[in-house]
Amino acid sequence: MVCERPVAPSPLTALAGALSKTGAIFVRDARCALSYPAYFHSQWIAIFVEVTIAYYLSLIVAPSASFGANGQTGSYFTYLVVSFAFVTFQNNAMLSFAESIREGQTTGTLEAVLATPTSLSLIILATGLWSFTLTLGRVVVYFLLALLFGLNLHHMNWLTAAVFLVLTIAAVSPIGVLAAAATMVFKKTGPLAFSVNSATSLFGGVYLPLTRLPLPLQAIGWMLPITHALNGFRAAVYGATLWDLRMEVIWLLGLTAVLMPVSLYLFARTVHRGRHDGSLAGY
Amino acid sequence: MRGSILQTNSSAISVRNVEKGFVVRHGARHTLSKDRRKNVLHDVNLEVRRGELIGLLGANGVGKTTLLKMMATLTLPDSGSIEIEGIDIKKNPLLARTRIGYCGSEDRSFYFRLTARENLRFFGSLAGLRGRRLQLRIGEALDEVALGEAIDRRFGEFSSGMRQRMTVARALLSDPDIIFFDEPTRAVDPIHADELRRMIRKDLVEDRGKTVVLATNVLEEAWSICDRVAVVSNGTIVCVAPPCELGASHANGSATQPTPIELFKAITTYGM
Repeated sequence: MVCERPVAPSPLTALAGALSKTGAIFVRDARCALSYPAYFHSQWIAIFVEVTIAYYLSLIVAPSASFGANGQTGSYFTYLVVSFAFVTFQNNAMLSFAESIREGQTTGTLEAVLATPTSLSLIILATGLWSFTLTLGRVVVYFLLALLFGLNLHHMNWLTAAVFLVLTIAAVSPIGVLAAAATMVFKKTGPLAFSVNSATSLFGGVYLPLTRLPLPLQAIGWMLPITHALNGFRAAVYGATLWDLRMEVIWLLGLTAVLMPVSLYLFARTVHRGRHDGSLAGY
Repeated sequence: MRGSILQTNSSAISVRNVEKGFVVRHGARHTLSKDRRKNVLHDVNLEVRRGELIGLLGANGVGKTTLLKMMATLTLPDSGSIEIEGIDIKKNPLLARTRIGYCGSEDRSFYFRLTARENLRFFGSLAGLRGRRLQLRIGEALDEVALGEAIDRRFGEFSSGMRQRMTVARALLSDPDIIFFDEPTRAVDPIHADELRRMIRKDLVEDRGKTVVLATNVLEEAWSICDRVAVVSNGTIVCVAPPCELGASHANGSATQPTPIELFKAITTYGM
């Protein structure tokens, strides 16, 4: 048999190829999202509504040390704005990865994508890129609107905030990949995402500080990445440095280091299972 | 054999002792049930030469698409092996995929809100194309399936036949050595179907030396353009031969050449 020996691409060529594919997935998702202009623009209105709700809720809750950080008393408004803005990273991760897989199953695009010489890790991780970029834009709008309502960012440590932004995205991505893996198996997205998002709101310190919860619930909350992401970003608003927040940083890094390979492995296993039982395009 | 001038005796695809079954009874109560799995393909062997156009012919549900999907790395065989240009698809599916183009039977497998150009740019990028080469190949592939004028129309506006031709364009995009077609003329009008067949036979196989595996239900299609036809029946390949030899083997002792449908019935019922 005549067989040409496969030539491995150089690292630079491989990197350029991976970036090109990542860009293609990002552009696909952006174009698809922007092709629904009414839906796309309605989210900005939703932000305005959420900031307004946070403002009026804060009027009936007195400032407290448990809403602040770094030894400072904080307002409930700042607390809620950071929560609402940042928890969308996790909510979007839960939904966007899984919905992309689900849509691919129902339309048949998943099988077409998996027929290309593209690694599974790249396919699934790049799927979150547009969603995270959009969420970043939403966070910026959130804070701009909140500034109009009196949010105080004078003490903000921007470096800490930027690092926690990156850590948040890194820590919630594996959760999105796990949701996608579940969709590969169960062919549905709804219940899992809803359960995780609800649990996060309760245990992750979104509406009220973790210290106000019973100890067993605090323990659950402490294990969630979003808890540490919110703590870090809130502290950044009050001027905390990365050194002050080193334990949060270590926890988020450690969690990402463990969850990322596990989630990618599980996703690969579910795709393997789909290839084995012929259900890649099933739904 | 009509054969392309670029056809050689070396194997482009080797399928050896392949078995495949699927779970047909789902749920915990069927876990230990003996009829939980249904064997779809058994003891399938096939060698496809480089530059050859081979047809997979069989009735609905005999396993043509399953076999095609296994060769295209989308479904894994339970046992046996499949090699694409010497690459084991189980061990190195990514490398195998750089050599193949897959035109599936699912004509909805595009993004409805994107144009033909945007869809092919996406799939072309995933196939490893970039820059000017990608732009060039998008135009060429759409021209090859007579969709050049619809390049900036949304896929959602396409008719079924146009969507089917888009799947062909996608398979051609990276100019692969081996192309799998699963009923490519399904839902395509007779004129464009004829053009597609001519493009597959003349442009891809005869002029460019591509290796093509074509799964089809259309007897005339298999008879008119394939170098060899593999008849799939009862979960295995019952015969592989050029159409003219299939006819001759069954014409023995008979005054007239059997029609393709007579042949097909005879082969799937009694074998060669």
